[in-house]
Amino acid sequence: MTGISLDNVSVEFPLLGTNSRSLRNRLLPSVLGGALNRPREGPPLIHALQSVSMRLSPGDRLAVLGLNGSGKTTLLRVLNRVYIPSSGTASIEGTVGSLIDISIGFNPEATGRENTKLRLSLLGVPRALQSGIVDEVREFTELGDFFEMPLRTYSSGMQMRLAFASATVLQPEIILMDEWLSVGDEGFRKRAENRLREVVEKGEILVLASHSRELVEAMCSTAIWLERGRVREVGPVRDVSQRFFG
Amino acid sequence: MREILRLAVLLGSEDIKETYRRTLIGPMWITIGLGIQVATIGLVFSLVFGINLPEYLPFLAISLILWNAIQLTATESTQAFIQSERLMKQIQLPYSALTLRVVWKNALVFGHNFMIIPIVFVLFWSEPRWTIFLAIPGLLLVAVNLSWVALILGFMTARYRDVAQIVQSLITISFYLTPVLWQPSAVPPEFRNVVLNFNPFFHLMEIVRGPLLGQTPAPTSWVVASVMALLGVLIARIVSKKWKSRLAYWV
Repeated sequence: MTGISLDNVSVEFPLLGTNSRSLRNRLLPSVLGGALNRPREGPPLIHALQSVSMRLSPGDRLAVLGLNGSGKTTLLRVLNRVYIPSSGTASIEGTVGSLIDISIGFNPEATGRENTKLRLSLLGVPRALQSGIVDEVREFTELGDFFEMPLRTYSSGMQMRLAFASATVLQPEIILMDEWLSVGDEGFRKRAENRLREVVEKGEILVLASHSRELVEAMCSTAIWLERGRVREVGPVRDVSQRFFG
Repeated sequence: MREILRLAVLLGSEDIKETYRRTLIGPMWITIGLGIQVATIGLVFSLVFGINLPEYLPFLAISLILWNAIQLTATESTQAFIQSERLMKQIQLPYSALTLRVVWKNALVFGHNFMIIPIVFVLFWSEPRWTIFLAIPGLLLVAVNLSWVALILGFMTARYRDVAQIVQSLITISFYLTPVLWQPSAVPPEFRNVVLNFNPFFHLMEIVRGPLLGQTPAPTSWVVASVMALLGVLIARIVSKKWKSRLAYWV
């Protein structure tokens, strides 16, 4: 069954390629970023997340609040199984779809069709299923003949259409988002909005990182407030967002 | 494993297609460049050192093409993970697909370059012997060895960026230490062990070059290449198991 369960998850990574000596000089008290730790040996460590625990089950809509560098992106990457926690356990059951960087893996020299196929292969969609999905993407983008042209010939709006359509064509069980997606011209934006709402509603779990109070209050039921990698508060979205946004 | 290979083949082929786009002959330019290199070195060496060209040129052509594949795979694999940073932070991928992609891409480049060899053979009319079929298991062994090397180099460079530079220098030095331009028969017998048998590249070259030139390679070369493949794959598995969970943080 779909579900997310984090137990005392901590993520720390080495700050490779920084001079720890110069860093020491610059280390002023700061409210931004994870806690920095400089062990006696080896590179300095960033504690991007510290003992985060949470449990999500189908139907949950979680907002992730926090200042820049508070660990929102790191948390989303843990949920996407990209970052494996340094300590603690993360168990994520279900297919995860990330709508964070939607133009990932696109090759400007390849056609819209090739890029869509490439994306599907990267996501592990078997080749037998791909052509049907590709046609769906083609239809949704309304790119027509441009779908068979190299991506570099697209306007930036057309590129966004393709990125959006190929990112939302699959229905994941767990949806990760960093802010709401808004793409295209007037006509497309409406259809995109509808498609996105549909995907989000059909998804069993939504985790949405955002700096917009209206957005999280409209989309989410609970909220988690991160501060320098630690959970400062968890609770119903209205209570937490009221205190966070002040 | 099949899924990993399929993804590697797809990505590697995409890389080759990339070099074909908007060009007439794409990667064939590499082949032409290599062909010219073979002809030039062959001519100069035969003029300066008085080497017998019909005997030397087939040797040189095979050596250079094979070395080219080994060198490119080793140097490109150092970038395999670093280059795909964005991808790795967004999609959960089997990491070995990214290094096998480099191996497959260079296998395709090798395939293009291989066309030089029949041309040389026809020019100097040396009749192919049945031993050429032994080159197939030889090539497979080379590919397996390059695969584990690529995975380890990918991991190491992700963590320690200096590795890319070190590999570059080591490969250049190995080029002179390995019989690529010069023939193994030129080594005096008392130095054979030191210069040839302790050089892993020598054995990898031998098991492909020998059969193509109509010789059966020494059993030592087969044994060394096979043992290296087995041990290497084992080490690569251990390394990847140990480092896999940290890789996303390093790139």
